Amino acid sequence: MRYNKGIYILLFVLLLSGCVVTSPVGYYWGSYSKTYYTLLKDPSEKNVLAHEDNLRKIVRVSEEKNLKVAPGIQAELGYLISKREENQEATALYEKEVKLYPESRVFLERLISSNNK
Amino acid sequence: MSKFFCNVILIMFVVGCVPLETKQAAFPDMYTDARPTSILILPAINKSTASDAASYITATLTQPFADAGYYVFPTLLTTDIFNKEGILDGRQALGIPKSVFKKSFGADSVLFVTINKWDKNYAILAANVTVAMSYVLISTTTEEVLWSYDQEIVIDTGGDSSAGLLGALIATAINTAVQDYIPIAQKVNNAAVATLPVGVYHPSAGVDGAVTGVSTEAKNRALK
Repeated sequence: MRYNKGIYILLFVLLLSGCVVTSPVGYYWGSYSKTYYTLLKDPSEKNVLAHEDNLRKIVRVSEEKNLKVAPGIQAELGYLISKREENQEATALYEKEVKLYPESRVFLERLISSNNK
Repeated sequence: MSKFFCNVILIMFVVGCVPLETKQAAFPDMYTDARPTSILILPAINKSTASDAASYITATLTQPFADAGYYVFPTLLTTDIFNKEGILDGRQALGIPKSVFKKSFGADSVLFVTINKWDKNYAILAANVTVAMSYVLISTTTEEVLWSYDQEIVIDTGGDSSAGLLGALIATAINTAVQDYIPIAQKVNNAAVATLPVGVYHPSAGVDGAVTGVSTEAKNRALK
């Protein structure tokens, strides 16, 4: 019990210090909706890059905190990168997503094979 | 069932509250092998008068469904693919056999989202936004509806009576113009997803059947 209490206090302090806010499942989303909305509203190069940076940050923070990267994040990042013909990095990200979420296999393997053409 | 609980339900009926069900009673298929592990979100069907509503909804949909324990296909990619196939609006996908989504995406379920209302109302001393949504989750294996919900929220967006009439008018106009609608979209999505039985990546997967709060009327209305 004492151990549990310590964890709660630690979590509370982490929350207060504004470290990272995660969802109940334990995903870190950063400001995902915000940069995604901005991109949808105006898909300019600047807004696409801002979303890409945000996705990179979500991956980085999740890894730092030993959290599972949220569904779709790495695939989405790979997709934005593949548009610049940087297919190797894109493929690596798709493969990471498939490893983390086998549900994405059918879908992403198609993208992987089209990247390799 | 405890006496207290029975009394609470009885009182709710007497005061004319809407009848509520548990998640398991409302969506029994979600507690069988039919429960999907992945969700493919189709482009939103926008029946509202606000053209930007679909972007707000698309940008905020993935998170609550993923947080509820499902694998959600990245909408940034899937929307592009749908658009290339000529599907710009979920309405165009209504007639497609759901098995197509299983075959081409490997998706266990598809989610149709309809924006019924996105109304900005102005008055002298107050302003609000009414958002009404329907969500329908369909199995790609059986074509059965797995979960459906109608959700409406009204959010106060302005009006400050302490500033006097003219001040209030100006404040209302300013607030409505620069209003950030992302939190509003998040709120309506979260409220609906609260009635969704959680998926395999959630610690309560399969054991949240007794959670109540599902309005039978809202469940049925989404299917109309």
